[in-house]
Amino acid sequence: MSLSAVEQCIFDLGNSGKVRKAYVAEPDAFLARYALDDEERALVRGEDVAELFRRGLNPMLLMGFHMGLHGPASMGEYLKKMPTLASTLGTGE
Amino acid sequence: MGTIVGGFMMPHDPTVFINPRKLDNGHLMDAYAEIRRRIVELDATSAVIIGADHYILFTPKCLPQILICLGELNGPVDQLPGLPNRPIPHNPVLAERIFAHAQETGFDLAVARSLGVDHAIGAPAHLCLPEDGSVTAVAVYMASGVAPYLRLRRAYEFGAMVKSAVEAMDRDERVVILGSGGISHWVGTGEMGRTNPVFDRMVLDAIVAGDADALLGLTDEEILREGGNGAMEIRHFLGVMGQCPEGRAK
Repeated sequence: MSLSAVEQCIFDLGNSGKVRKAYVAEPDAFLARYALDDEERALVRGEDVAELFRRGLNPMLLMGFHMGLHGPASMGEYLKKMPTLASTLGTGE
Repeated sequence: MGTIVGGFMMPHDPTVFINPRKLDNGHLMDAYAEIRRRIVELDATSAVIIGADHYILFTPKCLPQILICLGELNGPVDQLPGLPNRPIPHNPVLAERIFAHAQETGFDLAVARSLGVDHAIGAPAHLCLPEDGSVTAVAVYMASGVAPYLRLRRAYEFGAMVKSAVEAMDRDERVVILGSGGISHWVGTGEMGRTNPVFDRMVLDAIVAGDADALLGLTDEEILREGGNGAMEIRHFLGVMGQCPEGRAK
């Protein structure tokens, strides 16, 4: 998968409180706006930032997505989930 | 004729301003103040500020390699303590001149008619330029935060292009170029909080020596591995170095 639609979806959720409200109110209806396949929808619904990062999504985007949904205090929780950049470059954790 | 009268490099890390652990950041704030003092001392009239979007301003639908704003500026839109979102005095004549010169010399720049900048440009605009608006800004964004990244050499060539654009102006303009960015830092990855002093020293030594080739020889993978995704911002330093190829830094 190209992840392009996921990237747009995560960008929208990370950068707009209005969009987040719509997502939280009706997640399935919200995600239906984007050209996502079932696996991609599950990654977004599950807030699987680690897997999305491994698949190439920008970590700043993912950080904004997570903090947007859970607030600045969730930074520690976010970082615990995240792989290292080095691991994606093939140099190991 | 316009003149490039100086170049400066500075960080824009939000944690300097949020300061979650309430550390003494006086030395950093003093450094911004020192840059402001020197810009005033140089009698600068305008500043070209180079920053990176942190995936806040530009969407997956449009990710410019290099963007220049021709009109009004405000920011930072991601407000931080001490950095309120407010209008930033801008220089449309210089921006138009750089854009026109870019077109004439083979640089195809993306354009914003007006722009709410993020902290990458908002921090230096607030902290390094005089508060009386006597030094007006031109905002430039390079693709340093979001792939596909701008080529390092293109960032360097951009600096040289700005220099020739300024020198071709028919009005007396004294321009400083500000490269806003960090050395090693990891943003949003598992290494976040880490730095690499060895990488940082190598970059700083190259800047002090005016040795652009030492930085231009790096691959993106080397930068990512040794300096993290935040270190891709050394492009902004190369932009400054490109406008003063014979320059040495302090």
